Amino acid sequence: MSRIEAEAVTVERAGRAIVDGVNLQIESGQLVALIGPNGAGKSTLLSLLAGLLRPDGGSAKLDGAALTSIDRRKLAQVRAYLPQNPRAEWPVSVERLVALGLLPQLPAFGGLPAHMHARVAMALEAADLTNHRDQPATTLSGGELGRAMLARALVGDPEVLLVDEPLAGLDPRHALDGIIRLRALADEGKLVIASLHDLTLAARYATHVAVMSGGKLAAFGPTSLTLTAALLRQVFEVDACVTGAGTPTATVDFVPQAAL
Amino acid sequence: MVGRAAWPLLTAVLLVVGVLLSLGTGRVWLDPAVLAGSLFEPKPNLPWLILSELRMPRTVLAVLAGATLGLAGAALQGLLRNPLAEPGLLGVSPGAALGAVIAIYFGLSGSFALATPMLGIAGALAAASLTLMAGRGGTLTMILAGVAVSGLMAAGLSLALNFAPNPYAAYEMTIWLLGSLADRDWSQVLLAAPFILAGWVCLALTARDLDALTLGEAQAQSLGIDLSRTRFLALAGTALSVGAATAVTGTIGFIGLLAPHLVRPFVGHQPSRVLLPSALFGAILLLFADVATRIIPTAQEVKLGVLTSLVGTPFFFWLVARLRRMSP
Repeated sequence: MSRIEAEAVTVERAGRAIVDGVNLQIESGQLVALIGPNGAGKSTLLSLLAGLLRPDGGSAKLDGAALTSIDRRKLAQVRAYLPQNPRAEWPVSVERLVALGLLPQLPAFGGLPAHMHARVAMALEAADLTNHRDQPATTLSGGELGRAMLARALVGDPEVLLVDEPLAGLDPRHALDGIIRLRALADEGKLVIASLHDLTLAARYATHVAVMSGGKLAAFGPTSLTLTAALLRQVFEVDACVTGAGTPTATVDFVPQAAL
Repeated sequence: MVGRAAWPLLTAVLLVVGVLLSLGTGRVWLDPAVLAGSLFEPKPNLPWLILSELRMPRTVLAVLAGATLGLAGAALQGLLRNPLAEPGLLGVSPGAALGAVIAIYFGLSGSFALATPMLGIAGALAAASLTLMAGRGGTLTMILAGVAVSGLMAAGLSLALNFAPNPYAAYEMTIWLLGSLADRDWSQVLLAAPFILAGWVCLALTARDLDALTLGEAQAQSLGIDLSRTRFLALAGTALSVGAATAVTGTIGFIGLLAPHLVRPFVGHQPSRVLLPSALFGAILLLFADVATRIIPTAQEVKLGVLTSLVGTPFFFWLVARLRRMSP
């Protein structure tokens, strides 16, 4: 059972609050879709909750301990983080790229132990990348690389998973596969936070939504109660049609305000 | 195509051939039979003296300096994820050169032979700490800080040449800057060796961090890597090892740039696996280059740094062409 809490966390850059007094409590078993317009502070909040950024005010905690005070390696063993648009810097094989997710679990010296090879193979299989195993990661397409990176984050079987736009650039089938896997992880009892721009997928699969707007948390709660047309109008400044939020057939549609 | 298992063998053979050529090449031919025969004689004879006092320090120095340049180049390219990174880029080699030139400028080297390498090591450490202090925070700032520090050190070198007390001193500095392994003795090798070995340890400790950096800085951090520790180890290791090597040999370019690129495709581009082969190929390249300076029949011996630059430049063009092909 894990629990992430943010207590009045604030991050300032050049005198401007990018994340402004956010209070949030997220528990295992939840798939939280972090939504909001561009520049709302979603990515900054995610790296705060991942413990990669020290807040200028307030505190972010994992199971009651301030994230920035937890030993890096111990934190890395329970929490995986995937930034936006991850890139492979060297043309290493996809298999090796995914295996890098096991670094925090490796012994101090030596290579990958035999039983971990099986985990890498399973992660590749789940990401539908087995055929690309030996391909240099730099030659993958954007969507394939996104899947490889998600496999990298999941290969260590983390209790807490924070992913920044994991579905960007994925074709419909793999986007669905991706979000269904995230939901399955939450159902297994993991804590998953994913920033998303596809609100239909969020409405269908997220157990909870957290809505950021101008650095502030505009709303947080169960998807069926929180994701409403009124909220989307207020935050995204578009008229929206939301049907069946929180059910597997939900849709979210936008219409420009002028059209009505 | 050579099989995977053949690469370590090939490397070992090249290294042994390089060492033997380095020991065997020189003004006089040393007959192995005479050497072997005199091995158990209590009184040292001339061939044995030539081997142990002239050729062996040179060979050992070539291996140490070459491996240092290859290892540091590989570690820095991994750290900065930049194919053009090499010890010179971060100001370390120019810092060592400036320290050594200061020793020559003030005539310290005349009164105390080890003053040149000692000041060289001090210069490298000073330059590296300046780069580390100014370049805190990120990869790009570190590269820019390194360029700035290199510029500062180069300005210092020009100033020393400008104000050289006499033409002979200026000549001595210039010759020293060209880089050479000739006429180095055991005391210089022994002075540099501990620093070089300490630097190797620092650089080797970065191996796993460099692998994690394949995913970029944010993901590396999320995997539990302390990037400021990685930067410190890489820069301190480079300053210690390259500083000490440069302080004894003078500036030797291109080995640190070339060696990692030569071996990278054969180890699947994984940064940690590049380190050792790159060090070995650095040693091999420098051994052969040094042998070449002794064989090439010119009136004055071609300086080692000049030769590596001459041979290395075409490679640089090849690298540029390849990058242009690869970039979209």
